[in-house]
Amino acid sequence: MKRNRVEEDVYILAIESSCDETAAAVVKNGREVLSNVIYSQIDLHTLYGGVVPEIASRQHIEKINQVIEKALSEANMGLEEMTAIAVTYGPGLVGALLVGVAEAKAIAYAAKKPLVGVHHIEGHVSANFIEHPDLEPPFVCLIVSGGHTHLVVVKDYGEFEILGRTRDDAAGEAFDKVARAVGLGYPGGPKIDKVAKNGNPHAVEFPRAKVEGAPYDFSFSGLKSAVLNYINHAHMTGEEIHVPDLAASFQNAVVEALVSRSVLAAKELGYSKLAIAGGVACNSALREGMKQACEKEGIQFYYPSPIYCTDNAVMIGTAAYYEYINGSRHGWDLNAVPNLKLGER
Amino acid sequence: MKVLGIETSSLVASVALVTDEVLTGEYTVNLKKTHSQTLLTMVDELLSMLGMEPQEVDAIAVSAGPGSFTGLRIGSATAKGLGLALKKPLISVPTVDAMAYNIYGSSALICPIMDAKRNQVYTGWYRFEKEFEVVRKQYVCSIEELLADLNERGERVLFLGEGALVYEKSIQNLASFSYSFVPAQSSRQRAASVAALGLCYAKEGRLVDAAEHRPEYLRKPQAERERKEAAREVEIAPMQREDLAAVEGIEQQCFSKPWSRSLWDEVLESTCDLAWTARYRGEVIACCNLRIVADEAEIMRIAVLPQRRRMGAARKMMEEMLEAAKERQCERVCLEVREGNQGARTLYESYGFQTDGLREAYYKNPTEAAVLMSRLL
Repeated sequence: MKRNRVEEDVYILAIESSCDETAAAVVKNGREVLSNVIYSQIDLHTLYGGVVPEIASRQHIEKINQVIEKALSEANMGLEEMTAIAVTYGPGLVGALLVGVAEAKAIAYAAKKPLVGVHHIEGHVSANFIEHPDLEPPFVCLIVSGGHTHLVVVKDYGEFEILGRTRDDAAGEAFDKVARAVGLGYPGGPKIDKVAKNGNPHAVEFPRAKVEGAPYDFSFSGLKSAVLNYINHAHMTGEEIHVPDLAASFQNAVVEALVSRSVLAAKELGYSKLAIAGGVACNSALREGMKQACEKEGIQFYYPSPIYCTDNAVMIGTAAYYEYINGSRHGWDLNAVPNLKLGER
Repeated sequence: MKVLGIETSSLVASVALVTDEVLTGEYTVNLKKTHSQTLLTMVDELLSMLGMEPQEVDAIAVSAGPGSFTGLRIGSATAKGLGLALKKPLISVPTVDAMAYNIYGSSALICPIMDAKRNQVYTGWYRFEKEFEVVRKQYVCSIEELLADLNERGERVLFLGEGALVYEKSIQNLASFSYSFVPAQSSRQRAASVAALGLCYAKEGRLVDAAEHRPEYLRKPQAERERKEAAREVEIAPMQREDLAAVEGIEQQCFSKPWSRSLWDEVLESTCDLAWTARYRGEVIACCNLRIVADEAEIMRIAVLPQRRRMGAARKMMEEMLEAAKERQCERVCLEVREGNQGARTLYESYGFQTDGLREAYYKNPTEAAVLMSRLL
């Protein structure tokens, strides 16, 4: 991909509202964080055991101006100093996305700035660039969150080749469901991670599903069912469930599936760098598992700080920078695309 | 003063610029395309046609709702973004008010009707003889209720809005007053009315900062409504002997070391123990036990069936127990909770309980520390 030479500093105001976090950030030249403001609604949704789209959308519209204004003031910059306005336009909850998209478009229009629509998952991948100035494509990246499980090759900035994906549940979804089943509540990922620290990961050997003929694909519904069956069986026979053991064993099965395929892909396809991204990339067992496997194989392992793993606008600003210098611009008719596929524009 | 009007509460997308007493331009479409694709393009085209820079706009009047939740948010987010970037104030114009403002100089009662779905309408009552007057602020009700109220008034009524067409049959069948339907050019939402009425409001000082504006939905999200409805049906009552079978079931499902039937029997016998159950539609879904010793109360047990959680049963029981402890002149309430039971700990914290300490390896199966919590009354 040819890149236009950029002479001047590029400042991007980025906006993210695809799920239950209202976020805005100012990012300089793609890799320097000038501000990072996140308003999380998680407490509100905990009451319902998951994100309620209408409630999320209502919260976004109430907070979005404050969040954007705070991002500008923390960066100590005015809107007129921005080079471009970036916004997540998919995938995500449509009502939630629309708030950010409409807001960003109006700001870009009124401030006479170019508008750059960003793919949310491309944002997650780009989170790795924030703290690793040395990281450049190509590399293998595992994207794991509540809604996504993708194994990709990042061929260049904004250019992906999808190697594998989940055939059923996303990894984060499996965490949520299992957490709910053992009464740990929402959000499941961090809760299981915490409890599993006191458990034996080999207490229960849950099945590791492989997808026939697709070595890089994932499947978590079998594992999820196995865990749920185990719980039901224990209830019926009056056996005690040791939650930490169960959580650790389940988590171990997920981590093993994620690590083995990622490392296999990097090895077989000859990439020396492997990164993880998305909310589940916060999981301590996954980080540890990846670190060990990569060390063994001589692969350089990258992962973002937790604050850049979960939804944030810095990663959108970083992705937008490379989109921007590659000439990507969106018009005033930009719409939210809730099921935007990776690699689609 | 130049006011940009934005209206996206229904299928109609409409933008207008009102300069003092003059409607400088208006652009309205009524099509199935999403407002997200049309609205800002329309603003851009309108202002370019008028040879205006966005910066020349003095205030942005936005149709604030009720209406389609998503539609309202697209209009509101657009207005808020414009306000933020231009550093100009917003004017929140109630949608039904703006619709009524389409009509001028009629002695009849003006009654816009929006179809709110689920057999309800958004409506309001207005009059516009000399001055625009809100007779009844916009509200949500069934068409039958609206017509019954209007029958009682017996005034002549002008109906407008897409809801008037949807409910034309009901109006014909139920209205005992004289009425007519407003013709097409004035019957739908339009941004000119939003901007013109917004200008009046601006003169009254009803300007808001863009950050402060939020849509007026007139309706709670469905999930919140369902939760409230379910919570309303949860009833707390002192535990009776005939509840014990159900309580035993709750114990089995909630605890790794369930209390036995005979233990609960003792609780019911004991003079220092108080116990309640929560019922939802007749089914016992939760139970609790409070022990009072001198001026201190201890929450000994509180459990909700897993499938009946998040319906407010635990909160109702907490309130019942705290109330009972107060009535009995207790000064302090304490409890113990498993360290890993974050849900319960959050609940207690929300009632002002604070952590006093930790008792290591207190619980068995799994072995876990007990967190000691208490609060003063």
